[in-house]
Amino acid sequence: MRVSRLAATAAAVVAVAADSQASPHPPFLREFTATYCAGCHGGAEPKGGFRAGEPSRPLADAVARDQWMRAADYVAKGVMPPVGALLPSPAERERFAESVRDGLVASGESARSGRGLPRRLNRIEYLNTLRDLFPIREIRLPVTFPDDNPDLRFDTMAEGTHLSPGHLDAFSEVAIDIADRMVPLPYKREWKSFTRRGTVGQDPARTKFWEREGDALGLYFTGVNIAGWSGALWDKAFVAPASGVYRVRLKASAQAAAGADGKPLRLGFYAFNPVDYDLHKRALRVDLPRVGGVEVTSEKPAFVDADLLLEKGETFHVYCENRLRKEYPRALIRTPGNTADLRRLLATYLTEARDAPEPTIRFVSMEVSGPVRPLPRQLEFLGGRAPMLDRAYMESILLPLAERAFRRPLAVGERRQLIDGALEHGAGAPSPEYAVHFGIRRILLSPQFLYRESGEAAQDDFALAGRLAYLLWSSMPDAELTRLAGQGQLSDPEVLRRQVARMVRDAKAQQFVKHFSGQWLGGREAASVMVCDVRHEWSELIRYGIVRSTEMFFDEVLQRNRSIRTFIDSEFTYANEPMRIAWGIPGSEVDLRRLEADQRQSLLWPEPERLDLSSLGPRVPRHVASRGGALGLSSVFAATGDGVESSPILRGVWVLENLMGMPPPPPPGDVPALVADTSQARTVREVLSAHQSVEKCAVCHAKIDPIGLALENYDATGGWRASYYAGEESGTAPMPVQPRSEMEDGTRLAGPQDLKDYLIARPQIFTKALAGLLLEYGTGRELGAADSRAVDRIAAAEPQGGYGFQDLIVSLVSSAAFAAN
Amino acid sequence: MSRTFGQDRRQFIRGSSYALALPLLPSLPGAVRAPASPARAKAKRLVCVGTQLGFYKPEFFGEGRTPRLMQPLVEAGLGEAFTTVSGLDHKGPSGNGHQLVYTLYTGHVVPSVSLDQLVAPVLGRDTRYESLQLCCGQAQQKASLSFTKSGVPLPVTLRPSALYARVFGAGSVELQRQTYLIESGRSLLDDLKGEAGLAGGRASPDDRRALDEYLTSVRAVEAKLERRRDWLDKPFPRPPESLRLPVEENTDSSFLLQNEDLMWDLMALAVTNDSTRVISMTIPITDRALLVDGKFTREGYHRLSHHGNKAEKIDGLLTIEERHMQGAARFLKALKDAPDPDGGSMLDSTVTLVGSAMGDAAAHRRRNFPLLVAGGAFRHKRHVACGSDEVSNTMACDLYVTVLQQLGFEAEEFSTSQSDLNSVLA
Repeated sequence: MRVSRLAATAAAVVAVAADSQASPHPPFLREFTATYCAGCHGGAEPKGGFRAGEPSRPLADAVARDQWMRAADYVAKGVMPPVGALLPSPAERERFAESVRDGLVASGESARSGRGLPRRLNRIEYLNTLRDLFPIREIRLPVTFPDDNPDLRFDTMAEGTHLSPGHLDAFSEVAIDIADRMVPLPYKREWKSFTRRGTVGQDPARTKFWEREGDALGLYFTGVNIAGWSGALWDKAFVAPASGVYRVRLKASAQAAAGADGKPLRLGFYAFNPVDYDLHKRALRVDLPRVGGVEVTSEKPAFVDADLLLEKGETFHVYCENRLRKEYPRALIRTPGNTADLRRLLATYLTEARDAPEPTIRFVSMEVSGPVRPLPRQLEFLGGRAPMLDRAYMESILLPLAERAFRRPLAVGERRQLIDGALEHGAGAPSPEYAVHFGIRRILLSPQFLYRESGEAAQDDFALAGRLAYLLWSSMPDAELTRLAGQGQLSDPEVLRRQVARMVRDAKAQQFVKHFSGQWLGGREAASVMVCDVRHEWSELIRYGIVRSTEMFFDEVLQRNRSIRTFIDSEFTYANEPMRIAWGIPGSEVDLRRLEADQRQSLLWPEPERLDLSSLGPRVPRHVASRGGALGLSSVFAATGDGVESSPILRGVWVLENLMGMPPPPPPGDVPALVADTSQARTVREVLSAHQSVEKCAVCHAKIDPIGLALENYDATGGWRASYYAGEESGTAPMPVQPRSEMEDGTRLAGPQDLKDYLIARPQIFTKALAGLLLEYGTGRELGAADSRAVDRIAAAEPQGGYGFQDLIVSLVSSAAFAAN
Repeated sequence: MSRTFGQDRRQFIRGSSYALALPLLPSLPGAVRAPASPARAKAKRLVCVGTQLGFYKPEFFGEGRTPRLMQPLVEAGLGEAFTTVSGLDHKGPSGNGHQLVYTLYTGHVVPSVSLDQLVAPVLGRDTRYESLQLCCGQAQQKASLSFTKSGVPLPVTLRPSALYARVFGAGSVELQRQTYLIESGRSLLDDLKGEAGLAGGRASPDDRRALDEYLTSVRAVEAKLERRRDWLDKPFPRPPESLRLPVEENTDSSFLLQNEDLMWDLMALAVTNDSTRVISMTIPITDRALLVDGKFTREGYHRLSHHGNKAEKIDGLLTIEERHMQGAARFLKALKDAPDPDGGSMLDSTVTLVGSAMGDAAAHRRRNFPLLVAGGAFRHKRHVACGSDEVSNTMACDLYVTVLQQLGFEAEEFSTSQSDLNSVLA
């Protein structure tokens, strides 16, 4: 559900092309509507509740304004007037759209684009911004952090990013947590623990993962991990109550003089957050940060100490790092092309490891205490000295932080209020640390931090830097963008072009890939849709492949600056091995369940590979060749089904919205909820045609259904099918899929390729759709008339062969509509 | 956005992604007023429980016999204390039930207030927590059933130990720190309010809207902090001796039923010791196999729900669903055994709803979803049929109107209600 552009618009009285002084076009408009529209959209009962006969009528409400926006759209895109009616020339169509939009712009609330409601940082932006602001190892949001409204077109939309008390409460919790980690308050938050004897480094084959106590399961020893270590966990006994340095005192003995590398046996400490409560992951994780280490040399039990740098909430694994002679065989990791029998290799490895006893470290006791002193990064943040309650000191610590957090220079008043507040608070507190702690919390709860690009100077270069950074990185601008904004260079188109190129190459651009493509091409829905695996060959590995392959497809178009028409059709796509198995591509003899077992062992997900569709082998099923472009991406089909069955209607709507920029109109107010009689229908096609027999349904379904029907060969997970699922026990023959349909303008479709050809033959439709979506995502507003004009201008300047994707982004971010609030 | 066809146009449009003129921030339904005098209320607590995967309806409703899923209630001596109501619907998009289970107590897909949050400010005025939102361990899908007036989902407590800490206190070690954080938080917000107020004078209308939103939130959080401070030095109730949390907590969804058992029991304690009077709890969906009596189910919970009418799978599904109902039975029995200070039992003074906005998980269909109302001094009759899979024209929100009235609210409508169910229950 996208919140409507109608809903939030103040019911200002707008006269569209109303009086002849405001617009140079009214005679033309009047003539046009009388000639082409009035036949249907006139009289006592105008079709669709839209009366086009009187363009001079003041548009008293948002509904009428929306109708005129749509009228301009439909006429420009050739949807209206319908086939069979008298048709205007292309030039007349353009002129009509232009005059209506100009009229809207001229008579609207103001000349600006759309509406620029202030936007709160959404969940993703908030987290990314915190991570860029503070040098804390891992910042995560509490599990109770509220979600954003999931029902909008994009999670960046202003309408979805209201601030609620629930959010502010959560922001406040997070602010306290961050302040605690940056400036330890002198509370007694200490920990002392003592754990029993054990052995670090069991034989991996005998590793006990579970210890059962009724239903309560505990994990005490880890198994072999991918790097060949094994070790013990202490999270049950210890979780760091605050960020700081902790001392581990271990009474331990080495069972061998040297480890596998000839050096003394060495323990490594690896931090993790036990909130990641995935037993399996925890046992095998390799990407944990090493936070300390110690050698154990004594053959008799002796004390050894190690200092660990831990963040609040963390605990640690301890591994014997050089115990095994063997590395975990890399051959056991499934990579593309590695078709070895992994299960057998692994069994051999585990047997060898078990039969060859390895040296271990045995310990008698382990004690953790601390924090014994602050972390180096905490000392650095405080300027390397003890905090002082004076203005110069506070300014030196808090102002640079505030400037970055607010993403613009501070006004004099802002500086004063921030420092005054901190000093005043510090004066009544036990020590100066409190003042800094308070200052951080205040910065993180200020509207200037929580809201994007708002305030008095919402349209300056700093705002542009913010908009650009949140578009491409979902995070705050970096130092270079801020510097350029400060020098007033960012609005220079050449500078913008270089910045876009730089930002796209940065790893942070994967946020754009993930979040824009995830919301545009269905990746987010596909990641969570519950799939009926009775009907579909299904595995989480396929889900992973579906989501990742869409991202990788999108990323290739972005990074290589490929023509945006690649999104309509392409000679390549991406698929991982499980997807290729499901698609019936020969060359891989493994089955899905075995791949799943490999994944559990290695924790590596099967990454998609690029598939060249122009040179597929002769044994590859024919449907694979039509996998190019968005209409071959499984995520799109998974997102428009419900995990059980496909929905031609949702698919039709999806294509209209996302590839054609023509979301079907809202229902006229006088249509009662209708239930067409579909009881006799046996096939999807019959159900749909029953709907079309009701005229009020048919108005939209004539546009929607033919598109959806042409895509019926794709099932609800994006797999290919020649016939519908008939049920397990049903004796009837499966109904064949018939992807034939006829679009409203008479174009006959017989499958996805015809739909792609239709769009390729009318490339401007897609260019405008994509530019519009990017503008919506980047500005967070429902597009207004001025935005449509901007999109038209961008599309009109499209080079032969289509915009490169980066070039389109450059055109977009250089437009006034993008910078406008 | 994943929904199937086969819905009427209006429903479809509401559920898909288009523009539609609906109020953005729906205020309280105009027809709902807070109780004029508490004496008029027949009940004063509301517990809203929802599963994300529905219930197997032939054994939830059942005709002419006690259906298997109601057996635990009957065995606990609660046979006269509940009514299952079949044929209810929200009439929203009828497509993918999974994506819409969160609408169980809102009735709407658009952002709107849930039943529990509508009553919480009144019913929960004098307790430590105005309301609690729970979920039995980790959830694969969005877990909350509770939505604020502006439609923002409220965060849920996933861990039984966290609920325990909220009800019985986490120890007094942090009292000094808590006091400091609350007091400094209030002065911080006060500063920010002043600053924002100053900026408001020269803001554009749009910026002013944000400022209003911000100031409203600041004031609400201030009130919340004040409530926290007021309760900070009041002693927590003592946990009963018999209550033992597991040595090591595991909220992984494989242990859904173990966490759920604890949640039901802790919830009963939270109600009977008056820590709160309004609770919502989600029993989440998961693809995982569940641990039942020390053994894992042969298939995942979600997979079992696509039973294809195979007896073996249905039995597996019912084994899990029985555990949900056993928890409900223990909860209701505990309330029945607890005298209400104002007379009667707590069962009678508490309206408990257990249901799901998923009508038939095997087909992801939403129509005719299972709902049970227990306690609350209603005229119970085990089962009432307001419709069937084919005809489900009675709005679930009609039932909620009756619940609101039972709780003393002057309510004529709620969300998508068309009437009330007073003739059936009240």
